[in-house]
Amino acid sequence: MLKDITIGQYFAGDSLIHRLDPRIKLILTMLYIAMVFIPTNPAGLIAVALFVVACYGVSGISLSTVRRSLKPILPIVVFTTILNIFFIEGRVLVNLGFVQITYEGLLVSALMVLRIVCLIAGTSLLTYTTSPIALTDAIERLFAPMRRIGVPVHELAMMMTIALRFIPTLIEETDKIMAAQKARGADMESGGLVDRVRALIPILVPLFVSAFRRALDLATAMECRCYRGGEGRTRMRQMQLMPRDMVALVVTVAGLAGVIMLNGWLPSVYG
Amino acid sequence: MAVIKTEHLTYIYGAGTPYEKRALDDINLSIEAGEFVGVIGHTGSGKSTLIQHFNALLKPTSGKVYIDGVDVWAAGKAALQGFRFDVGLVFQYPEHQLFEETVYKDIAFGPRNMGLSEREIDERVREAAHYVGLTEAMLDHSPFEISGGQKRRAAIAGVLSMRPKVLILDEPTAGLDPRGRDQILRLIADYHRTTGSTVLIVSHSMEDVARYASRILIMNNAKVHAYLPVREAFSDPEVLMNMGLSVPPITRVFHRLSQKGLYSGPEVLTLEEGKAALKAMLGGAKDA
Amino acid sequence: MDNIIQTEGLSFRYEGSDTLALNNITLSIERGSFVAVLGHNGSGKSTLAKHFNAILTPTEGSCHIDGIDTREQDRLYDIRRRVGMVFQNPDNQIVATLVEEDVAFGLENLGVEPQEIRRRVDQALEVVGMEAFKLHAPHQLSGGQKQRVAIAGVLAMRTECIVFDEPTAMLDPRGRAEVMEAMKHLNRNHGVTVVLITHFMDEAAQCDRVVVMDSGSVVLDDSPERVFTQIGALRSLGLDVPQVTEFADLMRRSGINLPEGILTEEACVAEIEKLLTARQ
Repeated sequence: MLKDITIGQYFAGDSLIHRLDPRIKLILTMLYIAMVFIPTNPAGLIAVALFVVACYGVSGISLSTVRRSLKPILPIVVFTTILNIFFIEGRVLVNLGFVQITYEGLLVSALMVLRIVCLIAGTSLLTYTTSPIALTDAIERLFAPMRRIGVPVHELAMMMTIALRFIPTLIEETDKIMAAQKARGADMESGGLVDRVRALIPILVPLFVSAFRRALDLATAMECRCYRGGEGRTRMRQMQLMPRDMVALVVTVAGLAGVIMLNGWLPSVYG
Repeated sequence: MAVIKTEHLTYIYGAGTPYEKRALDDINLSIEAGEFVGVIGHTGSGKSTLIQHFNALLKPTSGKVYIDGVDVWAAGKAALQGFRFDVGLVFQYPEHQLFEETVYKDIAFGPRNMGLSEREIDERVREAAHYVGLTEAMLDHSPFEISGGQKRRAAIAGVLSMRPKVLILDEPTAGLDPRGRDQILRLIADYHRTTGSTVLIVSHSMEDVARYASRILIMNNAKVHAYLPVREAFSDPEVLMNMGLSVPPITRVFHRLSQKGLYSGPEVLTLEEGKAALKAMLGGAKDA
Repeated sequence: MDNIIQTEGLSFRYEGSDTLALNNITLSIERGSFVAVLGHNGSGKSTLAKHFNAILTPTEGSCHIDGIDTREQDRLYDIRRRVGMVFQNPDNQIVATLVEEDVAFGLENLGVEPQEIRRRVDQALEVVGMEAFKLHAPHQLSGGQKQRVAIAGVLAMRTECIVFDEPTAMLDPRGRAEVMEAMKHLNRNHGVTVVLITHFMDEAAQCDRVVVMDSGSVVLDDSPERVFTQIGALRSLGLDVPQVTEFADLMRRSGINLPEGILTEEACVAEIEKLLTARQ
């Protein structure tokens, strides 16, 4: 059933990584992204890879889960890898006449693939171990200072929350409307592009009408419960930094420093 | 002849995922043409999944569904649409599926998908509108501007216009006020009487089922608990209540009286039957 | 102050409409009572309910909540923390993605201290029997459970009165029974005033008082026993009576003397028993 699909693919758990403050996790993820892009030599990137594998170990989430996240971008990875292999000049390993494969080409491609895998694996860990609500909360709190320069942080976070709340409801509704129109002989699977777009009208019109009605109902319900924007609003869930958050921060910063130092010591593969 | 028949019908949601759920478990049913069937069962008992098999919206995980003697899923994909015209399904809150600019166009959606001529479509739209009691003038209105009860009736007309051999309605009176509930039930009963077509109605209201249906299909935990004449179905209220269902209040009253040894006739399903029964009891007491 | 809600000659006209949606309504709801409001669709009952927590304000006349005039804009939140609302569609009133976060929503809006919010949220969930679900997502719950979460959200605000606008219309019998139980429990054991707008006569029969509306006016206002005796009047208003009440009436009309005011099956069985013993 469509409604079983959840957004952000969060795996509930109780590991050290699950328990880290979501704000810290957001910051750590940003540091980690830097860590992935800094290395210019294989050793640095392999260190990053080991770091992310260790994190998965701590989180209790199987590394094979990452495969699913990689799938959608696989074509891009393959395409750029091929380009890199064939078009980087250097020591020729195989000569096919019209193209040649070089040692440098292979090395750069391998590093790029590893970099992408590390990037996806690391950032996915954030959504695997942090519920969408906690993430929304963290974004709201972390970016709260930006309210002073006119960014509607609270409103954006509230919109995200409501979107997360209603996505399963609207997916279920779409399912139902589709079934009902099919029951009246609607044909959504055949015909040319124009026919198919036209076939969406009996689905989209009721869906918009319903979403609009829900929005009105929800607005009234929120008003009834004294909602008046972010001003003067408190939160039940308090976020408090714990020693473990500090430890995680120190470890990650140390890792980042290490990768930077390796760059200094070892020659870059990018010439 | 059976207009709808199932053989070992089983349906599993999300097979192979952690959400796997057996929604229908070995259903063997045969519904005769012309019946008025009340389908009851608590939420999650499988009744909604079952009726979506009756018009080829869902494909059985295993087992077979026959409509008018034809094996639905053996006939090829192109034939599926035809089965949906044969078995008209009105979903819960059908007014939520209205989408056209006018009521007329919305009712015409089904017949148009059938590829009928404009003349034929026009005839069917007017006939369907007549069954549900919508006036000519109403046909030109936008379906979003008419009242809640009218919307519901327009949506039902959108299925009747396909002239289905079998009409299935999933809780057609949900959310309506008493007058609206009565109107809808009466128009369905009239439709059944005039056209002689088979009608299945999913309902939580035992009073309504007792009043209109000839047979009852009781679903429980993905299985058919029973498919039998109304009177027999309500003969043991406790069994129904254990399934999270109920029987009409008047049936419960007489059931309680018979438990106390004060009444010993057949089950009472309607007010008229109750009146006759009580008169007999008092008359009998007078003679004694 | 005995009345939590008091309207005086309340009339209301929707913008752009030329008929009155509410016409000169004077009604008081006593603190701690359990009042049903009946009426067919479009009779004005939902419009009236929206006056009870200042979603709408009177065009003419007045509406006071705990002595506060609903037109006092700066006291809006004083009104809304006294009278809460639970609506028909359980899906469209839950804001948050977790049950407990949703129950906390109102308190967060009022700026209550976090520890206090936690305490009241846990309490409210316990009252409606949903504490085991506090970390569930709303779409994992049944309709009845969602309505109980909505009730908890209102209850957590220490609301004195809850107005239910057809809370069971979209539920199955099990869900309806759950919500009815929750409403009775709040009224009896927590002193919450309940105003229940409904289309189900058996629900109205369980209240202390029944107010019947038609075209924007109150046409009947009495105990359920007396209101449901007027079967003809109710029918002409597009309403119904509980089946056993109708049965008793049918019997009376054919000369068998079942008394008026039978609303429940128990009462009906008992009265028939009395009749049988009397005849013997």
